[in-house]
Amino acid sequence: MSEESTIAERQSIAANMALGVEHDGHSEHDKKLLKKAKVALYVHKDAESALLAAQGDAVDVFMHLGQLGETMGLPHAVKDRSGNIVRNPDGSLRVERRPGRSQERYKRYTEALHNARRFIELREGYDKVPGVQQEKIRGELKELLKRDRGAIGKKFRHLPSETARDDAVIKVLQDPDIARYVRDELVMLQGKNLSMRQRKEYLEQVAARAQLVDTHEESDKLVSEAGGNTQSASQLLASIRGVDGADPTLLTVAQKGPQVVAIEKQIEKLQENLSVLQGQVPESVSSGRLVSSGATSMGNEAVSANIAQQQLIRNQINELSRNLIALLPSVAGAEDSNLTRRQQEIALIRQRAAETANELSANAEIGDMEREREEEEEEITSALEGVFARAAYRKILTDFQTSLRVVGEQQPVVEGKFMEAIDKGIVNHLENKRWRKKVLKKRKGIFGFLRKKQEDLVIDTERVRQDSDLLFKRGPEVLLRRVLRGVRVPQDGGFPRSLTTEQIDDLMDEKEFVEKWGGVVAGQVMGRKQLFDGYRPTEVHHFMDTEWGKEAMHKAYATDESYRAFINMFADNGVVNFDSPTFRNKLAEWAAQFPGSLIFPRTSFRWAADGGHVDQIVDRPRPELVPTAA
Amino acid sequence: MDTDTIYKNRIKQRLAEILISAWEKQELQRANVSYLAGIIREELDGAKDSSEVFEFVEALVEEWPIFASVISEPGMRQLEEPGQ
Repeated sequence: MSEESTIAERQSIAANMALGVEHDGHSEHDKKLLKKAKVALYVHKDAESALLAAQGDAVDVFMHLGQLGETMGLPHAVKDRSGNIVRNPDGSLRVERRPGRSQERYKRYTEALHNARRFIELREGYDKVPGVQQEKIRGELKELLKRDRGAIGKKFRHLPSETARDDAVIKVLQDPDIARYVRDELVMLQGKNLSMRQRKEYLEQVAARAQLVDTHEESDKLVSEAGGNTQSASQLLASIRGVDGADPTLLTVAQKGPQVVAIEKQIEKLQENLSVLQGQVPESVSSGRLVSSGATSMGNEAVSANIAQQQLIRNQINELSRNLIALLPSVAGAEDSNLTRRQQEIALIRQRAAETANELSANAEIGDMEREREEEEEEITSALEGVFARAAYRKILTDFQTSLRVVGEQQPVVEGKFMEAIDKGIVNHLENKRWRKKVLKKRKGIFGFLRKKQEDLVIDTERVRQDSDLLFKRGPEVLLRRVLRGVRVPQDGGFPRSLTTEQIDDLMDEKEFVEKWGGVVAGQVMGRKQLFDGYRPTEVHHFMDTEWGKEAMHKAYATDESYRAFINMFADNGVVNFDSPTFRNKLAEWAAQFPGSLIFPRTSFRWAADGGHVDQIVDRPRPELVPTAA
Repeated sequence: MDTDTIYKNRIKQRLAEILISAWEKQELQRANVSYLAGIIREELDGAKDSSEVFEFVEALVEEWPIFASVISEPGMRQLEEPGQ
C-alpha cells in the first residue's frame, strides 16, 4: 500500500506543480512587497501606497503571468512505461501538453507574453513588435474605436480614409506613455487566474480518480489471491462476458437448468448492449482518461445520456445476477466448489460494475471541469493577446477626459437636450447675427435734448456675398461648419458658450443634422444674395454642376408647386431635363435678364420641414415670362 | 475635503487593511492580491460620489466575501453626519 500511496502522492504533487499552485510561504520578492505595503499602511497610514505596493511592479507581474502560462494547455507530467514520473536533468518535472488546441493555446499565450515583456521591460515599444503583430494590434484598436459610442468613436469613424485611421492609431501606439497602460492591463489580467476553489475541486477529483485506480488494482489482487488462481478480476470478467474467445461458462447447460440459462442469456444480451453503448462514447471516457473539449463530436448531453443508459443496464445486470444467485443453490448436481466460485464471480461483476460507474462519473466531472478550465484559458490567452489594443484604447479615453477638463468642456449629460439647445442656438445665430450688422442711427431731439442713439439691424451684404461664394465653391457642409463656429449654446451650468471643435465635429458627423441645417443655411444665404445681387449666368451653371445644387433643384421641382411651374417655363418641347444644355442656357439667360428673381429653389433646402423655416425672405415678384424667339 | 472624499479614503484604507492582512495570512494568492489592489484603486479613484463608492464595495463583496466586514462595520455603509 505504501507504494500506492506514493503513486497517489506523486500524482497529487505533479498535478499541483502542473497547475501552478503555489507552495506554502511567501517568496522573497513577495516578502519585500508585503513589507513595503504594511509599512505604508500601518506606519504612514497611506492606503494608496499600500495598494500600489500590493499591485507589484512589472517584474512581479511578468513573473506571475509566466507562472500562469505554465499551467496553460492542461499540462501533465510525462511518465515512463513503468508509470514513474520522468524528470528533466535539472530535476524539474517533464511536462507535456495535449496536441492540438491545448498546445496551440500555450504557444499563443507564450508569444503574447513575450511581446508584452519586450514592450515594457525592454522598452522596445510598438515599432519593434513584429509586423504581423503590429497589423493585428492596429486592427484590434481600430475595431475598439469604431465600436466606441462616444465622441471618440464618432471622430474616429469619420476620419477621411483608412490611412488616416491607421496613422491615428499608430501615433497612439508609438507614444512611450502607453507602456504604463499596458502594465496596468497586465496587472488586471493576472488576477484572472483560476480561483483557488476551482483548483481545489479539480485536484480533489484528480486525487479521487487516482484513488479509484488504486482500488481497482487492489481488488484485482485480492480476488486473485482469494480465487487461488492467477486470473485477474478483469480477465475473469472477460471470461464471463465471453470475450477474447474464452469459455463463457463454467458449468454445463445440464447443470444449470433452463431458468439459469435464460437469465444468463439475458445478462449476455444486456452486456452486449452495454458494450455497444461503451463503444459510442469516446475511448477516453470509457478508458478513464481525461476528456478535453472538442476531443469528441458528441455533445456533453449525449455523453451524459449514454453514461446514464449504461448505468441503467448495469442495474439490470445486477438485478439479474441477484436472481441468478438465488437460483444457483437449487441447481441440481451443481458442484459446491463451482457454485462458490460462481458466486464469487458474480459478486465481482457487481463490484466492478459499481466501480466502473463511479469511475465514469468521476471522469465526466473531471471532463466538465477541464472544459470550463479550457474556456478560462482561452479567455486569458485572448485577453493577453489583446492587451496592447485595450491599453491604447484606455489611454485614448483617459487623454480625452483630460483634454475635456483642460478646455473646460463637459459632455452634455442628456444628448437630446443638448441637441435642442443647438437647434435654438443656430436659429438665433442665423436670424440675428450671421447676416446682420448693427448700424447706429441718430434721432434728433429738440434743441439737442432727447437726442438718442439707436442701433438697427440691417442685412450684412458683404457677409452674405462671402458666404454665398463659400457655398458655391465648397458646398453647404463647409458653410454650415463655418456657421456653427459662431453659434453659442448654453453649456455646463447654463452660460452660453461657443461650440468646441470636438462638438462641431460630432455634429457634422450626424447625417440628419447636416441634411437639415446644411439645407437651411444654403437656402437662407442664396435667398439673401438673390434679394440684392441676383445671380450671374455663370453662377447658374456652377450651381447646376454641383451635386448638392442638382439635388436641391430636383427636390424643389418635386415638392414645390410654384417652383415647378417656374421651371416648366424652360422646358424643351414640354420636357424638363435638368442636364440638358438648352435648359441650362435658358435658365442662365433668365437670370441675366431678371437678376432679382428667385431662380434657385430656396424652399427645397427645407429638407427637415419645420426646421427649415428660419427667416422669411420675401421674394420679389417674378416678371411675366416673355416667350423667346424660339 | 468634502464628505465624499473622506468616505472614499476611509473605504480605501479599510479595504487595503483587509487585503494586506489576507495576503499576509495567505488567504489570497499573490496574483489575486495584485488584481484586487488594482481594481480597488481604479474603481475608487473613478467613483464620483459616496453612492458609487458603496456600489463598488457591494459588488466587490459579492465577488470576494473576504471584504464582507466592510459593509457590516459601523460607519462604513455611509459617512455618518457629525453628531450621529
